[in-house]
Amino acid sequence: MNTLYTFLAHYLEPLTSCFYLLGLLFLFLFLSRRVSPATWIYVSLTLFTVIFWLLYRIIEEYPAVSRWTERLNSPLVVIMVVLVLPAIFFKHSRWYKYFLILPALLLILSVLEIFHQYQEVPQGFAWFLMRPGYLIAGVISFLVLAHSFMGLATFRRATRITMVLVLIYGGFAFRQNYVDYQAMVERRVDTGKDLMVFSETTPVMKYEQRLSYIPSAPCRFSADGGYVQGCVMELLQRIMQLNFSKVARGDTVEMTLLAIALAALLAMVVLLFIGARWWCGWICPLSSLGDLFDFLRKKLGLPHLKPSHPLKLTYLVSGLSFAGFSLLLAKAYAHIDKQGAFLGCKIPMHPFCKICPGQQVCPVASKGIGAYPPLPGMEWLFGFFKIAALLLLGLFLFGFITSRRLWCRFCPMGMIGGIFNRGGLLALKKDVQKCNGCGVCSDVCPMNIHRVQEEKKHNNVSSFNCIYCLKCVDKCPQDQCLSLQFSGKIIVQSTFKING
Amino acid sequence: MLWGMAREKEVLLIFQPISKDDIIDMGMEIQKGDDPFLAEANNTFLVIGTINYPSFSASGFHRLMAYDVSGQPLSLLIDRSSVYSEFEDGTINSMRIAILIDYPTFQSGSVRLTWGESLNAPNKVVDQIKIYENSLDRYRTFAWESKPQQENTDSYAASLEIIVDDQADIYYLWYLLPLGILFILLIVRKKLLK
Repeated sequence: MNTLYTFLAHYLEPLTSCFYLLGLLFLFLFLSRRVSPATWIYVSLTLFTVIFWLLYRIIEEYPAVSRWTERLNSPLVVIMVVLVLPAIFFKHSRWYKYFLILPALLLILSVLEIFHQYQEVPQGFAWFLMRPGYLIAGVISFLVLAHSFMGLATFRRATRITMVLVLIYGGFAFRQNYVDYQAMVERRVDTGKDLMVFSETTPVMKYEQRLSYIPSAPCRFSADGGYVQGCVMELLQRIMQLNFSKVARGDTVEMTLLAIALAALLAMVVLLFIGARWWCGWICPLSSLGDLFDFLRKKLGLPHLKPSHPLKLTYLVSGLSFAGFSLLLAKAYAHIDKQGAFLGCKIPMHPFCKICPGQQVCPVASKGIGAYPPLPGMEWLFGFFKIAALLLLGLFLFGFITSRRLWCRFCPMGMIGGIFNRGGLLALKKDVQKCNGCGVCSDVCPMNIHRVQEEKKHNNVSSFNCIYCLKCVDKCPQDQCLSLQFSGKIIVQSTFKING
Repeated sequence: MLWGMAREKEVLLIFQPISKDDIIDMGMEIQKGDDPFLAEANNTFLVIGTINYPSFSASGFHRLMAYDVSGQPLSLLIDRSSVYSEFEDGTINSMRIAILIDYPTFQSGSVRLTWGESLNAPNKVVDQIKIYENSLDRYRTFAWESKPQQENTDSYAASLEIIVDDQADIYYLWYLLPLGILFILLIVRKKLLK
């Protein structure tokens, strides 16, 4: 297994670069605008891959440069290239059934990796020991195989459940090796509580000073560590905490931190450019957990509240205000004194995380009510953190219990994703000629968006709040009226339904 | 490399004379008396410095090791009070160390500092490394970024073949270029949609 891993690591490393994935998608976009024969598409993709591979190898000869490009590498990229893109672009090709051998093989390899790692385990059960590359390959292979025999709604549900399990429980169940597992168990024993227990939450993917973020809310504060580093807001707080006067003076430590944060930001912007707010609808564990309340409401037969415009606006403005104020406090954190105070006010390390419901909900989901983090006292900025944490937790519960995803209008992570909803590579398209204005799309939309129904002129109906749950596409009764396009290619589109 | 196996990294150190300004910059104070470490062996130097090399990261005190030119490991002291961990997850990003070297090693050439997950060095961890007034002439500091302004055979005895990144201060701007391009592309595509 080690030999295979080293072999893959060496030869596939150029394909783990964010730039490769982005370049590939732009090439798809370019080719999709022309009627190109399939052979020409395959030749272009192969040529691009070979050129990129060679360029990467040349850059590698210059350690000073490759150190900076290496920070942008991720096994997620190579798995997207070899598994996800073929699965969505070539699903209707006659060769697709042969392609499925690849995810099946990767799934088997992931299982073998666990057996291999268990050779280091003296005794007992240590859950799933696998390196990040194998884990990502295993999880995505499972989803690709599942995708082949599931409908859209079922597949989305399967993806969300899988991602909740990985992002919330992954820190406990999946560790890189036995040593990593033991370190996690030791952290569990340490019950010393403080305001931000970072040392107990080392992310599984943290490796060689690289920060691995994904755009939605994989909470860093899940018990035993999140699967990745955290969300957009955690990264922005890290950037705000940098001391730019030291950067200007060329302070080595501060500049290293800036480089790490900028590399993470770039990698995340690439992911946002590719997926926009799709992460909210398919990945975000916070919204998946919140939807459990929506599920309960439905089971109890209670109607959902259709939020009025002022209520939606209130959520939006509140979200922006809390995020803005917290980022300013993150800036102040860089100037705290030895008592942990700035201008006499105590400030936690990551102010937004302290009030974000993610830090309350995710640890409780992963470890039970005992993991509810201690609330700060009233001395923390005159009680702001204590009151705001409870207030936002209340808003989170209210936002999901009474009205489908009202909370997502508040969420700053979602808002950042929303910026990429128009102009990114993902787009919701509508054939205005085929729309009969039945309004099914408006009825099923969890974000209460009416634009899809009302748009009579433009084809692109993506909007800031759309989370690409694709319920509108799934339920639209008109054949080929609504579709999701990715990098110029139709991924899924509505089909004719007799009874809507 | 997330895909790759753990690997060791290293830099070669150059020695420089230590000044009172260096001592203050390192946040250290000069104590009265003789240095107990130097008193243990005659004809030795204590090279003190802070490792904050850009790619330095160690998961513990035993994950770094110093070697002389013949590959023999050198005694390493680690100052617990100086440990800096950015993410507070046990990973050390910066710390002060001291290397006890004898005069032949000092004269013979470079000292190689290595760190990585595979190392398990018997380093001595002390609460705080101290500098003593009576031993000032036997202290040195180290650097890897630039050659000392004035070459001095007594104070400068290492190889100049050092792994350095003397342009580290501008490389971080590289990330801003693709970031800028992506945002410009986003704006242009948004405009085109309208």
